[in-house]
Order: sequence, then C-alpha cells, then structure tokens
Amino acid sequence: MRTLWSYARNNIERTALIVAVLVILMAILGGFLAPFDPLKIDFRAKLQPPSAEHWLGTDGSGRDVLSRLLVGAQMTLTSTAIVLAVVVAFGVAVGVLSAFVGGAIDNLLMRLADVWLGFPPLILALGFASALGASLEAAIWALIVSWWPNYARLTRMVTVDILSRKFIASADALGVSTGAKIFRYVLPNAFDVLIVQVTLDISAIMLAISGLSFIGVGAQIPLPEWGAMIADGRSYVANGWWIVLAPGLMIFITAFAFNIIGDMLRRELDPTSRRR
Amino acid sequence: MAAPLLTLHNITVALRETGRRMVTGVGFTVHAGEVFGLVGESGSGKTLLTRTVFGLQDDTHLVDGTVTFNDKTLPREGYASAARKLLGGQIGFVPQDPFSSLNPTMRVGTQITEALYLAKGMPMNAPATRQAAIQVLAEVGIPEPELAFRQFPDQFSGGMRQRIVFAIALAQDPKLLIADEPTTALDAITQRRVIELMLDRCRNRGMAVILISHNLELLRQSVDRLAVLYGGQLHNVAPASSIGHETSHPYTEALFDCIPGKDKTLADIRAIRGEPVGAGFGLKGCAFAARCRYAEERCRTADLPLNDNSSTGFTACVLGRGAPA
Repeated sequence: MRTLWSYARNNIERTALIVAVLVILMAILGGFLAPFDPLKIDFRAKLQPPSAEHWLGTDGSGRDVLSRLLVGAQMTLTSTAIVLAVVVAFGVAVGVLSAFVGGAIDNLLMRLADVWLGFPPLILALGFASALGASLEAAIWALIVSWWPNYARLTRMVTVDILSRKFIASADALGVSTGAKIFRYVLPNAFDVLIVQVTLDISAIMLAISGLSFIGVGAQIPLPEWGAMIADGRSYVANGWWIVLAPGLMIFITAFAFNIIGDMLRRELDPTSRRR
Repeated sequence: MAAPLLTLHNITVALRETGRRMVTGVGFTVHAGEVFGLVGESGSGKTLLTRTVFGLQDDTHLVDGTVTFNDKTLPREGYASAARKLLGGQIGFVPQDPFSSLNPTMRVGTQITEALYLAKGMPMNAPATRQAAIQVLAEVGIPEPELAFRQFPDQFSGGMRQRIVFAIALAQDPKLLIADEPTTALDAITQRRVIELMLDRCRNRGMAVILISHNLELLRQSVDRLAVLYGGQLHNVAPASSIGHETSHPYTEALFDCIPGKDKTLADIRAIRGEPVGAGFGLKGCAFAARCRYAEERCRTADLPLNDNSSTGFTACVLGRGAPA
C-alpha cells in the first residue's frame, strides 16, 4: 500500500488512489451504510429530488437512489473481481502451459487465442450473455469467456521472455523442478507486467459489466447494478435527472480512477514504457 | 593413480539442426580435487563442449564419444537427461554472468536454501538450513551474511553477486564444480580476487574444478593442468607449470607468447597472425596449421591424433611438438 502511494507523482494520481480506496470501502460496507432497503418500492415517494431524507432522491418506483448506489457498488465491483480472478487464473495457466510445452500445443493454444481476440470482447460477450439468458451471472460468464485470451497471450509472451533469461539456465544447473520454476522463477518475474494489465482491466471490465446491464443482457432491474440503474432511469431523465446522474458519475469516477492507477503502475513497473 | 573423477573420450558435439560437428574428438580427464583449466579463444567451442557434456544445451547433442563420471559411464540414449540428473548434487555450475544469473525476485538467502534443499533435501525454511546458508555466504566472503541473507540480488555489486552465485554452487557441495568464464563481467582486480577465493574454497573441500576461460595467463597461474581448445579440436593438455618453461604445443606457445609479463621484453611479445577459425573445423588436418610458425604441408592433411587419456599430458601436434617427456 505504501509503495503504491509512493508511486504517485501528482495530485491526480493521489486522488485516484484515494477514490479507489473509497470505492472499495463502499463496496465492502455499502450494505451497512445504506439508509433504506435498495429494493423496497414506495410509489408514494417516487421521483423525489435529492432531499434531507433521500440524499440522492428516489427513482421511478420510489426506491432510494443512495441505498441502491451503495449496494450497487458491491454488486459491480464483486462481479468485476470475479471476472478478473477467473480470467487471470485461467489465462495465466494457459499462457504458462503454452510457453513451457511449446511446439504444436503452444501453436494450437495461441492460434485459438488469436482467433478469439479477433472479435471485440464486448460484442463477443454480448453474444454469449444473450445466449445464456440475460442475468448478472450470464454477463459474468460471458465476460470470462471473452476475456481470457488477453491474459493467455500476455502471459505466454512474458514467460517465453523469462525462460530465455540466464537465471533460468542457472536454475536448471541447480536441478530446480518445473513446478518450482513456474512458481518461484517465472510468476514472480511476470508479476509486474500482469499487475499493470489487471489494474487497467478493472475499469474495462467494470464498464463492460455495466454496459451489458445497460443494454439489458446483464443485471436486470430491480437489481441495483449501476448499469441497470442507468437503463432504468433513462425514461425519467426529463423529470428525474438524478436517477441517471448518480450511477453514471460513479461508473465514470471509478473507471477513471482505476485507469489512472493502471497508467501509473505501467509507468513505474513496465520497463518498456520507462522514460527518465 | 586412482581412477579419474571425470573422463571425456573422443567427444564430438554437433548442432541438432544441421548436424554440423562443432567440437571434434576432445578427450581429457579430471581427477578428484584437481583444478583443471579449459582455455581457448572465443568460438573455440569450450562453452559448447561443457554445456553439451553436462546436458544444458538444447540445440546441440553428443554424436560420438563417452563420458564417465565417478566410475559410471553415461548412456547414449537419453544422454542429456542423464547428464542433467548429475547437476545440482554431484556437479555444480557457476554461470558466466553474475548480473543476470540470479533470480531478481528471490531473496539471496532463499536462492541458497533452495540449492541446499535440491542437493541435500534440507527443508527450505528450517533454522538449520538458514544457518547453513549464512555460513556459506560467510565462507565466500560476503560481509554481514545475516543481512545479505534477507537482501535481493540487485542490492549487491558485481563482485559480490559473483560470490553469491558461487555460494549457491558451493552450498550444494558437488564433487565437481564447473566455472564457465566466471569473472568476465568483472574488472581485473575483482576477477583475480574472486577466482582465488573460489579455488581456495574448492581446494579446502577437495572439490574438483573445471575452470573455463579465454585468459591463458589467469589459468596458468591458478590451475593444476589445462586443456587447450582451438577450432573445436583439442590441441594440448599440459600441467600449468610447464607452460612457458618447457617446449609446448605450437598453439599453446603462441598463446603464451602474446601475454605481456614483467619477465618479457616487447620483442618477446608476439601476436598470432591471421584470424582464428571458429569451432567446427573437423578432424582432418590441424586447425591451427594456417597460422602456425612450424606448419608443414602434412599438417594440413594429416588426421589429428586423439587423446587416449593414457597420461596426464597430451599434444595433438602432427609434428609431435610439446609431447610429454
């Protein structure tokens, strides 16, 4: 954490770090902080502008926007985390396997990944999600399926590079086993490159989940997922602008913050982009 | 004399892809506790020979010859994997370049405890293993070994890193240590210091060493016997003490004549004319004949004699120059 803070060069990057921490805290504590039940419909209180009781107003069915936003943070970020965790685990495994085995299997896996990467991930995910039936789970699965080749490709590239370095030859001379070589030699040295990609992908995947929900193949109303909230609030823009503005701003701020952090990490950790 | 620790006989190494024979008919022996030098110009095949013989090179293979280590002859089928099994426990390797030979993400201590685990089965996190690792670090002259144990490789200078690389090999307590140009990345004074320390520790432990270098002077002053490689051919095996004092193989003599020294005047220093040939000259004719002062017509066509390891010295000179008395 302290290292991360020390990487920050200016106030924008410091702000991004603070925002990221706040959003993560919001996702963890959102359920406890929410003043109202995010799903409770109250038609007597619908479309109320921000007030002392409803800080961010209420939506078209009288649900408290602030409560939905807080609980929605958890939903959006947890989904992002699940997608990333599975995609990284699977992609890295495929990449390492490909690089270690080499030959025909390497070729097969990488050409498969290439074909996969030929489709824009959001379009591919859209197809999968609608085929799986529109739900948040479907959106998560769809993104997992369409995102793994990025990591397989990246990991394979980094692993091949690491395997050609001299300390691997030294490890061979010591008699290090393949498993130990993967976990003690390859993965720690690939960490820098991977962490940069992961940070940049946090915002991309978050946008994709919200995007899928907005289109209607992800989380369904009344679930308080941010993208779904915007979709729901669309029809009230004229007399309830706050319904769309609140989740829209949250998506924007969060994606922006993680992107800045990703760029910062790339500058600090990735030797190919280092300009000093 | 006891049976040698390592015997190479008529070793021929070829590239897998083209089948081109890079090293031809090399044979020598290394006895237990002996410090053996392997000298040759760049491209003479010394690294290729050792890396192939010990199973570390993937794009070359042994096409002829036998390797006997510790009374066991390595099989021709699955040679590389059989040779690699000896690495780590029986044979240690000190790599060329200390700057890139250490894993940058692993603490120095862990790299040594890993070596101890691999060679002796000592559990990596046990206090006893830790103690043993710190002791090895102290043995190679690292100041504050407890602190060094916790540090990462990039916190050390080149000379210190070379000592760490050496400590890793030493920790495995092999019977034979192979040091391939261990000091080329270091400056002259550090080179001498590290080599002296290394050979001293090995001699203390009765470890045999093969020291590979292009620097004849460095080898002449530090090894017991040395083998001279040129163009992938073995030209000479001789006690280091004899070089410069007795008649040597013409190539060894020529190499010695280019080294400046305080007992030499400028007129004594002679460059070898011509360009060195690369490895892969073959066995037909002497590879050095084109540059040799003594060369006769038959040098270019005669079959080069092979070392049958029957004595401690050997000369491949067709004219018989430098034959052991």
